[in-house]
Amino acid sequence: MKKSLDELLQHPSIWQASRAYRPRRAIATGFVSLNESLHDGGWPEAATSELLCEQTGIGELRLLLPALKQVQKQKSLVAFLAPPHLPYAPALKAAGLNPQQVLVVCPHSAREWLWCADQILRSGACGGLVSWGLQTAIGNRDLRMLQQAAHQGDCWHALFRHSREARQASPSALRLELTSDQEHAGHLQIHVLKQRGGWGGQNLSLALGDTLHKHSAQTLKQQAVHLAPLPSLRDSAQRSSASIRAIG
Amino acid sequence: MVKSLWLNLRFPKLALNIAQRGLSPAQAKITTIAIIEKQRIFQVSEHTELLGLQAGMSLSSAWALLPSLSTVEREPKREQRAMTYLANWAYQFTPSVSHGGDRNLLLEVGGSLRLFQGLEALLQQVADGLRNLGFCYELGLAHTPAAAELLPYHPSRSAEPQECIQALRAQPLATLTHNENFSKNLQKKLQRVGIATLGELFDLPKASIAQRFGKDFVLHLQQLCGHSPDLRPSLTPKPEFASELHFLTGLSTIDMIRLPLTQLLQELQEFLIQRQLACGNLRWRFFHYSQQASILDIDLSRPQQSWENFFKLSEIKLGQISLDSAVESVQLYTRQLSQARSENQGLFKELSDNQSQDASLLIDKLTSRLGAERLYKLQIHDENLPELQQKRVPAGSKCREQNSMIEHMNPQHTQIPLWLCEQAQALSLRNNKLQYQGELDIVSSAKRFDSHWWQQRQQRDYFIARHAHGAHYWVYFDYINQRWFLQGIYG
Repeated sequence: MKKSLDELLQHPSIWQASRAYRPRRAIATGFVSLNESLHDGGWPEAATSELLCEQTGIGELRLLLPALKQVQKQKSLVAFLAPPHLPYAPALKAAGLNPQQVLVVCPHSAREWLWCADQILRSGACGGLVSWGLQTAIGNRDLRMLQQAAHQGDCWHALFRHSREARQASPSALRLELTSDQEHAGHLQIHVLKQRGGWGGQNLSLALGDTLHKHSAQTLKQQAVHLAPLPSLRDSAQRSSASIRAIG
Repeated sequence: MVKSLWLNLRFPKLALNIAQRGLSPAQAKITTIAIIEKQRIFQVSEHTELLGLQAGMSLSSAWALLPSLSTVEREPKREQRAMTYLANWAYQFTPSVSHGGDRNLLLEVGGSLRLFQGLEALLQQVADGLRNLGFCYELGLAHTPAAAELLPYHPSRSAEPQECIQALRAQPLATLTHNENFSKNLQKKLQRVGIATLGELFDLPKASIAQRFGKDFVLHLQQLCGHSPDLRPSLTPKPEFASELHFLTGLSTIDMIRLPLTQLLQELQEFLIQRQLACGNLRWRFFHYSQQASILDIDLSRPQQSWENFFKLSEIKLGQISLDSAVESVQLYTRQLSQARSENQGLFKELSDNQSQDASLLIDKLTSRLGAERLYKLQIHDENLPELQQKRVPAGSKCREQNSMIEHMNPQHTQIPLWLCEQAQALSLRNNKLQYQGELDIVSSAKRFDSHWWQQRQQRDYFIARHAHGAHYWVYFDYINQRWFLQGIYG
């Protein structure tokens, strides 16, 4: 009896609060503080990570770039499923990705979305799938299917969903809630809703784009302006001409 | 020296076999079917023949004898296509395949005996293959092509010239009616002279035969024995594959179509493997009773051979069409064939790398379901304006590595956004603030683009703008239009 119980406890998906965690395969996120907050030390490999946010533009994709770069080193193809906008290839390239190995798939309906996600994950051809299901209703069963598909195809799946889904239970291996940090411009506030191998509930604020952040911190007055006055924004136009005078 | 040995395949019931191919063997036995030509019966199945129907009978008397008879109009074009298909199929046994007379295929198999381990094994393969395809045939075997057309195969007789000539001599002329060189007219003349067998004809002096029956006839007799050369131009197989199945009762559901699809795709795979070819594009044609056809094209990102892949893709495509009327025949056609490259296989399954194979299958599947325009990759172009810096390319296209200049031109590269608006959106101004789902604050210095003076000059100042809820946008002021636009989003 004791022996079989011990054997059972050796299983990596059984976690005992009293024991230290067993490391699973993970992809480093590229952000030290986020790695430290996750029990596995990164994005769980071959599993679904849910990212809940309300809108695009807060740096949600920048959060994934280091991991995608890592993934492309092993299996070159990554897929974007139903992205909300057109990906900008020069920016992907600047981030170290090979834009020619980024497959963009635009399904029409929720059924097609699910079918594509399942096929891409299961195929084993892609190292990573980033999918946007902000408008799509994804049920618990569908999530379970995607989770299994990711496991079978050994594919990292990052799934964006709307923050209102935070209350819904989900079988995903990791769930993060992303909000823009109101106090520090250019920072991303992350709240870990659920993670494997231990308690969730961690909160952290990540600085994503240094340059963006720098710009946000500066006021217009301090910047060198090499322009003719901006005609439509009268306010800033005055400021600009003021700063031009100051420089001159 | 390899002795020449000619095999003749005659397809006496070709039209009937074509019509029956869609039936299972059990069905084919009990279905009463007749091929008709000009209101007369041209061919009938064996089962129907037992019921008293014969070729040449008028259609009305046939109906009277057997009201449940199903009839199919004879289509010579269809037969021609089938003969081409069979010639292509026979190419697996020998490189010299030639069309004999009406519905005959001549194969020179003397050089292939060693490869196929003897004549018997080869004939067995021919028999198995034709049975699977659903064609009945008659065999002829001799040392010359002309004799092969006349002499039926007999296991006890070898193909040595003496034995063949011996057998030819014993051949009664009355049995040769199907051969065009021994027409009924000629036979009557020969009978009048008192000649009943080929042997008697051989014994007559050649000059007198030529005088009575023409020089060509003498030449044919000499070719029969191998005394004068008989050149048969061998067919060069066309680099294409076409096969079809016909159904007496139409196929009305997608499920019913699955079986013929499998059958035809397996034929295709066999063809591809034999020729060491790979196929890059398939075309299905479904002919309805209304003479209209539904066409289904399947493009593959990488030429391949496996019928399972073809079938999966065909199934995905089939799910999208609706069959308005029943399908009478299914045709598979492809001419995009290329030399097959054999893949490197890893010695150990765990280490084998079949990523590119998986990727092309995935892309094919997605393309067949979504259509090519909703699946793309992005290629960078050297341009100044952001919206021109990338182009969509089909997902299956080969990526060519390109060393872009853009990086060198843009030192502050982290400043460009990850998302681009499909088309720059005009922004409005309210209270001197830019409006996009709320107010925007400009938080960066300007970056000027001044380009395309050779076309329509574009003069823009780019800024990073911040929304109250924390999102960052890439906006620009267009000097030509004197307006603000949204170009991208910092995702």
